[in-house]
Amino acid sequence: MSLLIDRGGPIADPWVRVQRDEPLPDGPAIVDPDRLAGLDHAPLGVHLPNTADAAALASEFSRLALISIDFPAFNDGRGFSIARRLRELGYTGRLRAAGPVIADQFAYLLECGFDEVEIPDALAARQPAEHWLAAIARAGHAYQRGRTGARASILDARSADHG
Amino acid sequence: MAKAFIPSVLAANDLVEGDSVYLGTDTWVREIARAAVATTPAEAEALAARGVAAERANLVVGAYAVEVNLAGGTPWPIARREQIKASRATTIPVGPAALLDVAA
Amino acid sequence: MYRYDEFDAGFVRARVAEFRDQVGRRLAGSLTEDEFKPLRLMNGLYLQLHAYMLRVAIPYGTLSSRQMRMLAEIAERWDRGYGHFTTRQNIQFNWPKLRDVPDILDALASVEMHAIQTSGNCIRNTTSDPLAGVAPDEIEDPRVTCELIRQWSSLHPEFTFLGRKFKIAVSAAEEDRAAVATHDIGLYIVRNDAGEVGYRVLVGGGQGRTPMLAKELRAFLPKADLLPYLEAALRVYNLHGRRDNKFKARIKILVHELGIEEYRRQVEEEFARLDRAAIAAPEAEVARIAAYFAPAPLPARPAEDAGFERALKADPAFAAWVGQNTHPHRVPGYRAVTVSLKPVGGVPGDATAEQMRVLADLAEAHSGAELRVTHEQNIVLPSVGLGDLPKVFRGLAGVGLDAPNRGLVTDIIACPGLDYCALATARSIPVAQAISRRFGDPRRQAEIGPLAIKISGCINACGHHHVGHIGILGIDKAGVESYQITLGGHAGADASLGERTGPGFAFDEVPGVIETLVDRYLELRTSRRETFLQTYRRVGMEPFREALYEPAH
Repeated sequence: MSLLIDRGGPIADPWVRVQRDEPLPDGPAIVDPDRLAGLDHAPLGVHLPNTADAAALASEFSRLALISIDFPAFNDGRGFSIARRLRELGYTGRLRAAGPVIADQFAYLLECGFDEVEIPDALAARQPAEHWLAAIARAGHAYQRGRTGARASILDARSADHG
Repeated sequence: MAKAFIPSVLAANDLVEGDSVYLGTDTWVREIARAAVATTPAEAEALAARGVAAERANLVVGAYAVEVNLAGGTPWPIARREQIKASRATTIPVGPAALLDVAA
Repeated sequence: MYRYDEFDAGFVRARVAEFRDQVGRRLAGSLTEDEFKPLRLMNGLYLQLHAYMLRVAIPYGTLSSRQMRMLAEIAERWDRGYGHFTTRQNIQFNWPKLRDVPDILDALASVEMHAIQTSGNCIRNTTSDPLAGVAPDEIEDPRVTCELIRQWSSLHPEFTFLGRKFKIAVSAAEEDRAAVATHDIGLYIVRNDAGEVGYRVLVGGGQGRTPMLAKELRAFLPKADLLPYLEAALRVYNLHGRRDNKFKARIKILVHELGIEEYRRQVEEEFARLDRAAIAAPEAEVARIAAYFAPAPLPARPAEDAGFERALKADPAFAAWVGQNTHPHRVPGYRAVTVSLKPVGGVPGDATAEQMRVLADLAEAHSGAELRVTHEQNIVLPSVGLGDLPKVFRGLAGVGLDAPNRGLVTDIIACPGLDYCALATARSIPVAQAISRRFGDPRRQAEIGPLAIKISGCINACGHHHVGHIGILGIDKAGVESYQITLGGHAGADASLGERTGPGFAFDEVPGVIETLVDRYLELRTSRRETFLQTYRRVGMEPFREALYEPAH
């Protein structure tokens, strides 16, 4: 089991992750990328390994309501760049980080374009939703520009100061 | 023929202080001379289990077994790295990290 | 130098508060050690052989007298009265307690310093020329670029969990004093044919177990494109760098495996796709930072100084020190002074709290209250008037910092090695001390001339042995320390990697081995003007190998 959290706190997960050969449920379903071709289902989501090429998925964006990116470990940061690329390529649907990411990464995840995190229960037991909300509450400012989601840009704030 | 068992002690670092520590009979101690020595595989396993429990209890970090020589009456590490650790030789301010040809 | 504004100050304070909270959660158990470790590393906190070690960033090696005094205070209050300046222009404290670290970080924040990203698999402290801003041979002050990179790389949301650490160096001078070619990304500030200033970008350099010199990624990058281009280069690395093997995870391996052409193609493709305007620093911001590095208005001084000339004639020790440890300055009548942290028999790079305070005072009185840390583990007072040099020399001599050995055989780079480091496989500090004592006579050092000895206590090469004229690598051979020797490495603009002489030597043999190599060089050199490196490049390995392994020669 797992816990789903977005910037507002814990949320219900309407999505069903469909294993390789299982039949599709009626509601929102997340499938593996190799099952996408010719699949007629809505709402449709896909779960990507963190070795996936975001650009290869661009033609499918319009029928994907959710993309979930696998984080095999919190310190494997490839998913951050995949998310960023998906957003730059024009994906506007929901973006999920799935795996044992930690609360201290929440601001970075949001800034790279993620909307929500799906964490295993054992981790959620140690790092409940309050930790995640506290993490973004104290995140403060960031130096980078061109990213929204959690921290305001110091460089943009300085530009505003300069008038 | 089975390899002869080399006696060992259990080393770790104190979580809060960071100091290198050894598992004694009851508590974690700073001096290797006061460490509990495992002289059989079963005793080594028992020490290791106490180490795992102490890590879970957030007392120490990174517990591992250190092979020791008992010839001097108290345990002294065999490996150079562990000798340096046990001797705390660099604790001298701006230490000449003294040449450690330890005769202990 | 750069000063924090309210945003910088707030950023660092928030980071300290976050770390205080993380320490609290670690002690309470809501963070496991596995989870806490990368977080503490990103705040510069290691767990070493004996204790925790805190590595404090000295951005591009520049610090003020006020900051140096705070380092002294930290050494006394929370450590054991000394600190260790590193090859990446940082300082390490070897004995802090975990519970004290948030307070130490608060103390650092009060003088605009931090330990952010001094460790961990993220972008580390950007290093630069210790003579930045005062060297006569530079195009512009490279620290403006360094500060831009420092800010951009701090807690970058995308690049804080890379496959491995990532080091950037910047140089703007003809002479490369920042070892640019041994960095993950190296930037040379250059002028193109049209007279515009921009960057020559190198990628994929590094030391460690697979030493490589960086390759050219871009011959000329316009200045405005710096941050978007770095973003593209880092993204390709983050996505495709190897994660299956820690020892193959640096960008040099990716560049090597893809080939520079393919890596370049991917970076340029990514760069073309990025919204450059949204990522680049606004012009006003670049100008704001540059203003902090505008050359300080130094009082005009005559190019010659009578008192200085008298002291040179009267005191041979002073004259030797001036000859060896001072450098030309862009302003006539001034010198940049290298303060050697390599007294004979000392620990390379170590300084006591008292020495730090004296350095701070001397900098305040004679060098615009500014100091630099060099990657050779020395300190620089960047702008000292000729007439002040005798006073500075006396002040340094009073605390044992007057060694006239910059660039000589006793100016040894050494990593902490087995005496401190959890990764080390052999001692390096005692090896450096023994060699230093063997060559302690200053006349002998001067006779030998420029010679860079660099010692690493394990294959990770923190002591830069690959680029030592003589490199020494300590390894563990079946429980015994063994030292491999390399010759011909060099870290300057004409960088080269050293070549191994042959089988290694025992701990006690190393000083004798170095002496044999030096004696052979003295026999081989065509004149006193031919340095060890030049001689080696002319004659090659064989005569040295013979001297070491066929002593009947």
